Amino acid sequence: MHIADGILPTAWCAAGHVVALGAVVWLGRRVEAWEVARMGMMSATCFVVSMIHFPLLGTSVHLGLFGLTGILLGGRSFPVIFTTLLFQALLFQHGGLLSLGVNALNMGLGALLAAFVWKAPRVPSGLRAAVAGFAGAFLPALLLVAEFQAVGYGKGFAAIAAVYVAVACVEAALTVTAISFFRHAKPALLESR
Amino acid sequence: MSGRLLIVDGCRWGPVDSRAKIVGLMGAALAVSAAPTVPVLGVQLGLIGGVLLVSRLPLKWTLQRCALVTPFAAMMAAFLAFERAPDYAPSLLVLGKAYGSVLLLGMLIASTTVPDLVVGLQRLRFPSVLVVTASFTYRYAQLLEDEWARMARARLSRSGRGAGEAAWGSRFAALFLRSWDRAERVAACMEARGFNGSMAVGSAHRLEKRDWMFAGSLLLVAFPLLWRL
Repeated sequence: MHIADGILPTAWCAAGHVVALGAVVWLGRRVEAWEVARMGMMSATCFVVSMIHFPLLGTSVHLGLFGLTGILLGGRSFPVIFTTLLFQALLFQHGGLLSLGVNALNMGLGALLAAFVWKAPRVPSGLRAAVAGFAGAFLPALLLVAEFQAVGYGKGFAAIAAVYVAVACVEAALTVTAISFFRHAKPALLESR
Repeated sequence: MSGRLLIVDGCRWGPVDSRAKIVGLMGAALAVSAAPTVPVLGVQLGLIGGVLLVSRLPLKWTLQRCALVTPFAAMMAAFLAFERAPDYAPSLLVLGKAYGSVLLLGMLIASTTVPDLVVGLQRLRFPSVLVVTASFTYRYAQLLEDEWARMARARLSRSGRGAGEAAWGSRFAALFLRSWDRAERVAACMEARGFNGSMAVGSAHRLEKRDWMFAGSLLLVAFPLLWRL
Protein backbone atom coordinates (compact mmCIF):
# COMPACT_ATOMS: atom_id res chain seq x y z
CA MET A 1 0.00 0.00 0.00
CA HIS A 2 1.32 3.40 -0.96
CA ILE A 3 0.84 6.29 1.45
CA ALA A 4 -0.76 9.30 -0.24
CA ASP A 5 0.24 12.90 0.53
CA GLY A 6 -1.46 14.54 3.48
CA ILE A 7 -1.70 11.33 5.50
CA LEU A 8 1.56 11.63 7.42
CA PRO A 9 2.82 14.81 9.13
CA THR A 10 5.04 17.04 6.98
CA ALA A 11 8.02 16.49 9.28
CA TRP A 12 7.76 12.73 8.73
CA CYS A 13 7.65 13.22 4.96
CA ALA A 14 10.66 15.55 5.03
CA ALA A 15 12.63 13.16 7.23
CA GLY A 16 11.62 10.26 4.96
CA HIS A 17 12.94 12.11 1.91
CA VAL A 18 16.23 12.97 3.58
CA VAL A 19 16.87 9.39 4.75
CA ALA A 20 15.64 7.80 1.50
CA LEU A 21 17.67 10.12 -0.76
CA GLY A 22 20.70 9.52 1.48
CA ALA A 23 20.18 5.77 1.06
CA VAL A 24 19.78 6.20 -2.71
CA VAL A 25 23.09 8.04 -2.92
CA TRP A 26 24.89 5.62 -0.56
CA LEU A 27 23.58 2.42 -2.13
CA GLY A 28 23.89 3.78 -5.66
CA ARG A 29 27.47 5.02 -5.36
CA ARG A 30 30.02 4.02 -8.01
CA VAL A 31 27.36 2.42 -10.16
CA GLU A 32 28.72 0.91 -13.38
CA ALA A 33 27.18 0.85 -16.83
CA TRP A 34 26.21 -2.86 -16.78
CA GLU A 35 24.52 -2.34 -13.40
CA VAL A 36 22.50 0.59 -14.71
CA ALA A 37 21.00 -1.67 -17.39
CA ARG A 38 19.97 -4.24 -14.78
CA MET A 39 18.59 -1.56 -12.47
CA GLY A 40 16.59 0.07 -15.24
CA MET A 41 15.25 -3.28 -16.43
CA MET A 42 14.21 -4.33 -12.93
CA SER A 43 12.61 -0.95 -12.26
CA ALA A 44 10.65 -1.16 -15.52
CA THR A 45 9.55 -4.71 -14.66
CA CYS A 46 8.38 -3.70 -11.17
CA PHE A 47 6.55 -0.74 -12.70
CA VAL A 48 4.78 -2.87 -15.31
CA VAL A 49 3.92 -5.66 -12.84
CA SER A 50 2.47 -3.13 -10.39
CA MET A 51 -0.07 -2.14 -13.03
CA ILE A 52 -1.73 -5.57 -12.76
CA HIS A 53 -4.21 -5.46 -9.87
CA PHE A 54 -5.93 -8.38 -8.14
CA PRO A 55 -9.09 -8.16 -6.05
CA LEU A 56 -8.48 -9.49 -2.52
CA LEU A 57 -10.88 -9.42 0.45
CA GLY A 58 -12.79 -6.44 -0.88
CA THR A 59 -9.71 -4.44 -1.71
CA SER A 60 -7.33 -4.28 -4.66
CA VAL A 61 -3.69 -5.31 -4.38
CA HIS A 62 -0.76 -5.65 -6.77
CA LEU A 63 2.56 -7.42 -6.67
CA GLY A 64 5.70 -5.41 -5.98
CA LEU A 65 8.51 -7.90 -6.68
CA PHE A 66 10.51 -6.46 -3.77
CA GLY A 67 11.91 -9.88 -2.83
CA LEU A 68 12.98 -10.67 -6.40
CA THR A 69 14.48 -7.20 -6.81
CA GLY A 70 16.49 -7.63 -3.61
CA ILE A 71 17.74 -11.05 -4.71
CA LEU A 72 18.77 -9.91 -8.20
CA LEU A 73 20.23 -6.51 -7.31
CA GLY A 74 21.25 -6.62 -3.63
CA GLY A 75 21.87 -3.12 -2.24
CA ARG A 76 21.20 -1.55 -5.64
CA SER A 77 17.55 -2.52 -5.19
CA PHE A 78 16.89 0.56 -3.04
CA PRO A 79 17.45 3.16 -5.81
CA VAL A 80 15.40 0.90 -8.10
CA ILE A 81 12.44 0.81 -5.71
CA PHE A 82 12.67 4.60 -5.26
CA THR A 83 12.54 5.11 -9.02
CA THR A 84 9.64 2.70 -9.49
CA LEU A 85 7.66 4.48 -6.78
CA LEU A 86 8.45 7.86 -8.35
CA PHE A 87 6.94 6.69 -11.64
CA GLN A 88 3.94 5.13 -9.89
CA ALA A 89 3.28 8.33 -7.95
CA LEU A 90 3.56 10.53 -11.02
CA LEU A 91 1.66 8.44 -13.51
CA PHE A 92 -0.87 6.48 -11.47
CA GLN A 93 -1.20 8.45 -8.25
CA HIS A 94 0.01 5.44 -6.24
CA GLY A 95 1.29 7.40 -3.25
CA GLY A 96 2.30 11.04 -3.32
CA LEU A 97 5.51 12.91 -4.07
CA LEU A 98 5.88 14.19 -0.49
CA SER A 99 5.38 10.74 1.00
CA LEU A 100 7.66 9.16 -1.62
CA GLY A 101 10.57 9.04 0.82
CA VAL A 102 8.58 7.16 3.47
CA ASN A 103 7.11 4.81 0.85
CA ALA A 104 10.58 4.15 -0.56
CA LEU A 105 11.93 3.40 2.90
CA ASN A 106 9.07 1.00 3.66
CA MET A 107 9.40 -0.95 0.43
CA GLY A 108 13.13 -0.51 -0.07
CA LEU A 109 13.81 -1.97 3.37
CA GLY A 110 11.73 -4.98 2.33
CA ALA A 111 13.98 -5.45 -0.72
CA LEU A 112 17.14 -5.02 1.38
CA LEU A 113 15.88 -7.60 3.89
CA ALA A 114 15.22 -9.98 1.00
CA ALA A 115 18.79 -9.41 -0.27
CA PHE A 116 20.12 -10.16 3.22
CA VAL A 117 18.04 -13.35 3.53
CA TRP A 118 19.18 -14.51 0.07
CA LYS A 119 22.82 -14.37 1.17
CA ALA A 120 22.24 -16.69 4.15
CA PRO A 121 24.77 -19.54 3.94
CA ARG A 122 23.95 -23.28 4.11
CA VAL A 123 20.23 -22.87 3.41
CA PRO A 124 18.61 -24.41 0.29
CA SER A 125 18.05 -21.78 -2.39
CA GLY A 126 14.32 -22.60 -2.67
CA LEU A 127 13.79 -21.88 1.03
CA ARG A 128 15.90 -18.71 0.86
CA ALA A 129 13.89 -17.50 -2.13
CA ALA A 130 10.58 -18.21 -0.36
CA VAL A 131 11.59 -16.40 2.83
CA ALA A 132 13.09 -13.51 0.84
CA GLY A 133 9.93 -13.16 -1.25
CA PHE A 134 7.68 -13.27 1.82
CA ALA A 135 9.82 -10.89 3.89
CA GLY A 136 10.21 -8.47 1.00
CA ALA A 137 6.44 -8.02 0.76
CA PHE A 138 5.50 -8.34 4.43
CA LEU A 139 8.04 -6.02 6.03
CA PRO A 140 6.64 -2.96 4.17
CA ALA A 141 3.14 -3.83 5.47
CA LEU A 142 4.43 -4.08 9.05
CA LEU A 143 6.29 -0.78 8.75
CA LEU A 144 3.16 0.86 7.35
CA VAL A 145 1.02 -0.36 10.25
CA ALA A 146 3.65 0.82 12.75
CA GLU A 147 3.78 4.27 11.12
CA PHE A 148 -0.01 4.67 11.13
CA GLN A 149 -0.20 3.65 14.77
CA ALA A 150 2.59 6.05 15.70
CA VAL A 151 0.84 8.94 13.94
CA GLY A 152 -2.46 8.17 15.68
CA TYR A 153 -4.71 6.45 13.15
CA GLY A 154 -5.63 3.75 15.65
CA LYS A 155 -5.03 0.03 15.75
CA GLY A 156 -7.46 -0.93 12.97
CA PHE A 157 -4.61 -1.13 10.51
CA ALA A 158 -3.41 -4.40 12.00
CA ALA A 159 -6.09 -5.94 9.75
CA ILE A 160 -4.20 -4.62 6.73
CA ALA A 161 -1.15 -6.59 7.79
CA ALA A 162 -3.35 -9.69 7.82
CA VAL A 163 -4.42 -8.97 4.21
CA TYR A 164 -0.77 -8.60 3.27
CA VAL A 165 0.05 -12.07 4.62
CA ALA A 166 -1.86 -13.39 1.59
CA VAL A 167 -0.02 -11.02 -0.77
CA ALA A 168 3.33 -11.99 0.79
CA CYS A 169 2.53 -15.70 0.25
CA VAL A 170 1.83 -15.03 -3.44
CA GLU A 171 5.08 -13.04 -3.68
CA ALA A 172 6.97 -15.90 -2.01
CA ALA A 173 5.55 -18.47 -4.45
CA LEU A 174 6.34 -16.21 -7.40
CA THR A 175 9.89 -15.58 -6.17
CA VAL A 176 10.56 -19.32 -5.75
CA THR A 177 9.21 -20.02 -9.25
CA ALA A 178 11.20 -17.19 -10.81
CA ILE A 179 14.45 -18.15 -9.07
CA SER A 180 13.99 -21.79 -10.05
CA PHE A 181 13.33 -20.72 -13.67
CA PHE A 182 16.39 -18.42 -13.72
CA ARG A 183 18.64 -21.16 -12.31
CA HIS A 184 17.77 -23.37 -15.26
CA ALA A 185 17.33 -20.80 -18.03
CA LYS A 186 19.90 -18.11 -17.13
CA PRO A 187 22.03 -18.92 -14.06
CA ALA A 188 24.27 -15.90 -14.73
CA LEU A 189 21.40 -13.72 -13.56
CA LEU A 190 21.82 -15.01 -10.01
CA GLU A 191 25.57 -14.50 -9.91
CA SER A 192 27.03 -11.18 -8.89
CA ARG A 193 29.85 -9.95 -11.13
CA MET B 1 4.99 3.55 -22.51
CA SER B 2 4.66 6.79 -24.42
CA GLY B 3 6.43 9.85 -23.05
CA ARG B 4 3.16 11.73 -23.53
CA LEU B 5 1.25 9.16 -21.50
CA LEU B 6 -0.90 11.60 -19.49
CA ILE B 7 -0.25 14.82 -21.37
CA VAL B 8 -3.40 16.89 -21.75
CA ASP B 9 -3.36 18.84 -24.98
CA GLY B 10 -4.20 22.49 -24.46
CA CYS B 11 -2.83 22.68 -20.90
CA ARG B 12 -1.31 26.13 -20.51
CA TRP B 13 1.73 25.00 -18.55
CA GLY B 14 3.19 22.86 -21.35
CA PRO B 15 5.85 25.40 -22.40
CA VAL B 16 6.94 26.15 -18.79
CA ASP B 17 10.39 24.78 -17.93
CA SER B 18 10.15 21.45 -16.09
CA ARG B 19 12.46 22.74 -13.31
CA ALA B 20 10.04 25.57 -12.52
CA LYS B 21 7.15 23.13 -12.53
CA ILE B 22 8.86 20.62 -10.23
CA VAL B 23 10.00 23.28 -7.73
CA GLY B 24 6.74 25.24 -7.80
CA LEU B 25 4.45 22.24 -7.51
CA MET B 26 6.55 20.48 -4.87
CA GLY B 27 6.73 23.71 -2.85
CA ALA B 28 2.97 24.15 -3.07
CA ALA B 29 2.39 20.50 -2.10
CA LEU B 30 4.66 21.01 0.92
CA ALA B 31 2.70 24.12 1.92
CA VAL B 32 -0.61 22.27 1.61
CA SER B 33 0.76 19.41 3.68
CA ALA B 34 1.74 21.87 6.43
CA ALA B 35 -1.74 23.47 6.70
CA PRO B 36 -2.55 23.55 10.44
CA THR B 37 -6.30 24.30 10.28
CA VAL B 38 -9.24 23.68 7.97
CA PRO B 39 -9.72 27.41 7.09
CA VAL B 40 -6.06 27.76 6.08
CA LEU B 41 -6.33 24.63 3.97
CA GLY B 42 -9.54 25.98 2.44
CA VAL B 43 -7.79 29.17 1.29
CA GLN B 44 -4.91 27.11 -0.11
CA LEU B 45 -7.27 24.84 -2.03
CA GLY B 46 -9.00 27.96 -3.37
CA LEU B 47 -5.67 29.26 -4.69
CA ILE B 48 -4.88 25.88 -6.25
CA GLY B 49 -8.35 25.88 -7.81
CA GLY B 50 -7.55 29.28 -9.34
CA VAL B 51 -4.31 28.01 -10.89
CA LEU B 52 -6.20 24.94 -12.10
CA LEU B 53 -8.82 27.12 -13.80
CA VAL B 54 -6.14 29.11 -15.59
CA SER B 55 -4.41 25.90 -16.66
CA ARG B 56 -7.45 24.85 -18.78
CA LEU B 57 -7.37 21.23 -17.64
CA PRO B 58 -10.69 19.48 -18.39
CA LEU B 59 -12.92 18.99 -15.35
CA LYS B 60 -13.50 15.32 -16.19
CA TRP B 61 -9.76 14.62 -16.29
CA THR B 62 -9.26 16.42 -12.97
CA LEU B 63 -12.05 14.48 -11.29
CA GLN B 64 -10.65 11.20 -12.61
CA ARG B 65 -7.27 12.00 -11.03
CA CYS B 66 -9.01 12.84 -7.74
CA ALA B 67 -10.95 9.57 -7.91
CA LEU B 68 -7.66 7.64 -7.91
CA VAL B 69 -6.79 8.79 -4.41
CA THR B 70 -10.32 8.79 -2.99
CA PRO B 71 -10.48 5.20 -1.63
CA PHE B 72 -7.25 5.53 0.34
CA ALA B 73 -7.83 9.11 1.55
CA ALA B 74 -11.44 8.37 2.52
CA MET B 75 -10.38 5.26 4.44
CA MET B 76 -7.72 7.19 6.36
CA ALA B 77 -10.19 10.01 7.09
CA ALA B 78 -12.74 7.47 8.34
CA PHE B 79 -10.17 5.83 10.66
CA LEU B 80 -9.25 9.25 12.01
CA ALA B 81 -12.91 10.21 12.46
CA PHE B 82 -13.50 7.12 14.62
CA GLU B 83 -10.30 7.70 16.56
CA ARG B 84 -10.79 11.44 17.24
CA ALA B 85 -14.63 11.75 17.37
CA PRO B 86 -16.29 14.22 17.90
CA ASP B 87 -13.41 16.31 16.46
CA TYR B 88 -13.72 15.83 12.69
CA ALA B 89 -11.26 18.57 11.69
CA PRO B 90 -8.30 16.11 11.39
CA SER B 91 -10.33 13.97 8.96
CA LEU B 92 -11.18 17.01 6.84
CA LEU B 93 -7.53 18.06 6.85
CA VAL B 94 -6.42 14.62 5.64
CA LEU B 95 -8.98 14.64 2.82
CA GLY B 96 -8.20 18.23 1.78
CA LYS B 97 -4.44 17.70 1.80
CA ALA B 98 -4.70 14.49 -0.23
CA TYR B 99 -6.85 16.18 -2.89
CA GLY B 100 -4.67 19.32 -2.91
CA SER B 101 -1.60 17.22 -3.58
CA VAL B 102 -3.37 15.24 -6.32
CA LEU B 103 -4.41 18.43 -8.10
CA LEU B 104 -0.86 19.80 -8.00
CA LEU B 105 0.66 16.54 -9.19
CA GLY B 106 -1.98 16.39 -11.92
CA MET B 107 -0.90 19.78 -13.26
CA LEU B 108 2.70 18.56 -13.40
CA ILE B 109 2.02 15.32 -15.24
CA ALA B 110 -0.61 16.85 -17.56
CA SER B 111 1.93 19.31 -18.90
CA THR B 112 5.27 17.49 -18.75
CA THR B 113 6.49 14.52 -20.78
CA VAL B 114 8.47 11.79 -19.01
CA PRO B 115 11.76 12.72 -20.77
CA ASP B 116 11.27 16.40 -19.81
CA LEU B 117 10.63 15.36 -16.23
CA VAL B 118 13.84 13.32 -16.12
CA VAL B 119 15.81 16.23 -17.60
CA GLY B 120 14.24 18.55 -15.01
CA LEU B 121 15.30 16.25 -12.17
CA GLN B 122 18.78 16.05 -13.63
CA ARG B 123 19.14 19.83 -13.90
CA LEU B 124 17.87 20.23 -10.34
CA ARG B 125 20.84 18.06 -9.28
CA PHE B 126 18.87 15.07 -8.08
CA PRO B 127 21.16 12.09 -7.33
CA SER B 128 22.72 10.89 -10.56
CA VAL B 129 21.84 7.24 -9.93
CA LEU B 130 18.19 8.20 -9.59
CA VAL B 131 18.17 10.17 -12.83
CA VAL B 132 19.94 7.42 -14.77
CA THR B 133 17.67 4.70 -13.38
CA ALA B 134 14.58 6.80 -14.15
CA SER B 135 15.80 7.36 -17.69
CA PHE B 136 16.47 3.62 -18.20
CA THR B 137 13.13 2.70 -16.58
CA TYR B 138 11.32 4.81 -19.14
CA ARG B 139 13.36 3.30 -21.99
CA TYR B 140 12.98 -0.29 -20.78
CA ALA B 141 9.27 -0.02 -20.08
CA GLN B 142 8.95 0.68 -23.81
CA LEU B 143 11.26 -2.25 -24.50
CA LEU B 144 9.06 -4.58 -22.43
CA GLU B 145 6.03 -3.36 -24.34
CA ASP B 146 7.81 -4.00 -27.68
CA GLU B 147 8.91 -7.50 -26.66
CA TRP B 148 5.39 -8.35 -25.47
CA ALA B 149 3.95 -7.23 -28.82
CA ARG B 150 6.61 -9.22 -30.73
CA MET B 151 5.88 -12.36 -28.73
CA ALA B 152 2.14 -11.98 -29.25
CA ARG B 153 2.66 -11.47 -33.00
CA ALA B 154 4.93 -14.50 -33.25
CA ARG B 155 2.43 -16.66 -31.39
CA LEU B 156 -0.47 -15.51 -33.53
CA SER B 157 1.44 -16.16 -36.74
CA ARG B 158 2.33 -19.70 -35.59
CA SER B 159 -0.89 -20.86 -33.98
CA GLY B 160 -3.47 -18.35 -35.14
CA ARG B 161 -4.79 -17.81 -31.62
CA GLY B 162 -3.80 -16.02 -28.42
CA ALA B 163 -2.18 -17.73 -25.45
CA GLY B 164 -4.37 -19.53 -22.92
CA GLU B 165 -4.31 -18.56 -19.28
CA ALA B 166 -2.09 -21.52 -18.41
CA ALA B 167 0.68 -20.04 -20.54
CA TRP B 168 0.77 -16.68 -18.78
CA GLY B 169 3.47 -17.73 -16.30
CA SER B 170 5.88 -18.96 -18.95
CA ARG B 171 5.08 -15.98 -21.19
CA PHE B 172 5.96 -13.55 -18.39
CA ALA B 173 9.17 -15.44 -17.59
CA ALA B 174 10.17 -15.58 -21.27
CA LEU B 175 9.30 -11.89 -21.65
CA PHE B 176 11.49 -11.01 -18.67
CA LEU B 177 14.49 -12.97 -19.94
CA ARG B 178 14.19 -11.72 -23.53
CA SER B 179 13.87 -8.14 -22.32
CA TRP B 180 16.75 -8.59 -19.89
CA ASP B 181 19.00 -9.87 -22.70
CA ARG B 182 17.99 -7.01 -24.96
CA ALA B 183 18.53 -4.53 -22.12
CA GLU B 184 22.06 -5.85 -21.62
CA ARG B 185 22.72 -5.53 -25.35
CA VAL B 186 21.50 -1.93 -25.25
CA ALA B 187 23.78 -1.24 -22.26
CA ALA B 188 26.74 -2.91 -24.02
CA CYS B 189 26.19 -0.66 -27.05
CA MET B 190 26.03 2.39 -24.79
CA GLU B 191 29.19 1.29 -22.98
CA ALA B 192 30.94 0.93 -26.32
CA ARG B 193 29.99 4.53 -27.09
CA GLY B 194 31.50 5.75 -23.81
CA PHE B 195 28.61 5.49 -21.35
CA ASN B 196 30.06 5.06 -17.85
CA GLY B 197 26.95 4.87 -15.69
CA SER B 198 26.10 8.55 -15.48
CA MET B 199 24.28 10.87 -17.85
CA ALA B 200 25.93 13.96 -19.28
CA VAL B 201 24.26 17.15 -18.06
CA GLY B 202 23.30 19.27 -21.03
CA SER B 203 23.64 23.02 -20.74
CA ALA B 204 20.44 24.33 -19.17
CA HIS B 205 18.89 27.42 -20.68
CA ARG B 206 18.05 30.26 -18.34
CA LEU B 207 14.60 30.31 -16.80
CA GLU B 208 12.33 32.79 -18.53
CA LYS B 209 9.90 35.28 -17.01
CA ARG B 210 7.03 32.84 -17.67
CA ASP B 211 8.81 30.09 -15.68
CA TRP B 212 9.44 32.36 -12.70
CA MET B 213 5.84 33.58 -12.76
CA PHE B 214 4.51 30.03 -12.77
CA ALA B 215 6.69 28.89 -9.86
CA GLY B 216 6.02 32.14 -7.98
CA SER B 217 2.25 31.93 -8.36
CA LEU B 218 2.28 28.38 -7.03
CA LEU B 219 4.44 29.32 -4.08
CA LEU B 220 1.75 31.86 -3.10
CA VAL B 221 -0.04 28.79 -1.74
CA ALA B 222 2.38 28.99 1.21
CA PHE B 223 1.22 32.47 2.25
CA PRO B 224 -1.97 31.43 4.06
CA LEU B 225 0.29 29.56 6.49
CA LEU B 226 1.41 32.95 7.83
CA TRP B 227 -2.08 34.17 8.54
CA ARG B 228 -3.10 31.60 11.13
CA LEU B 229 -6.79 31.89 10.27
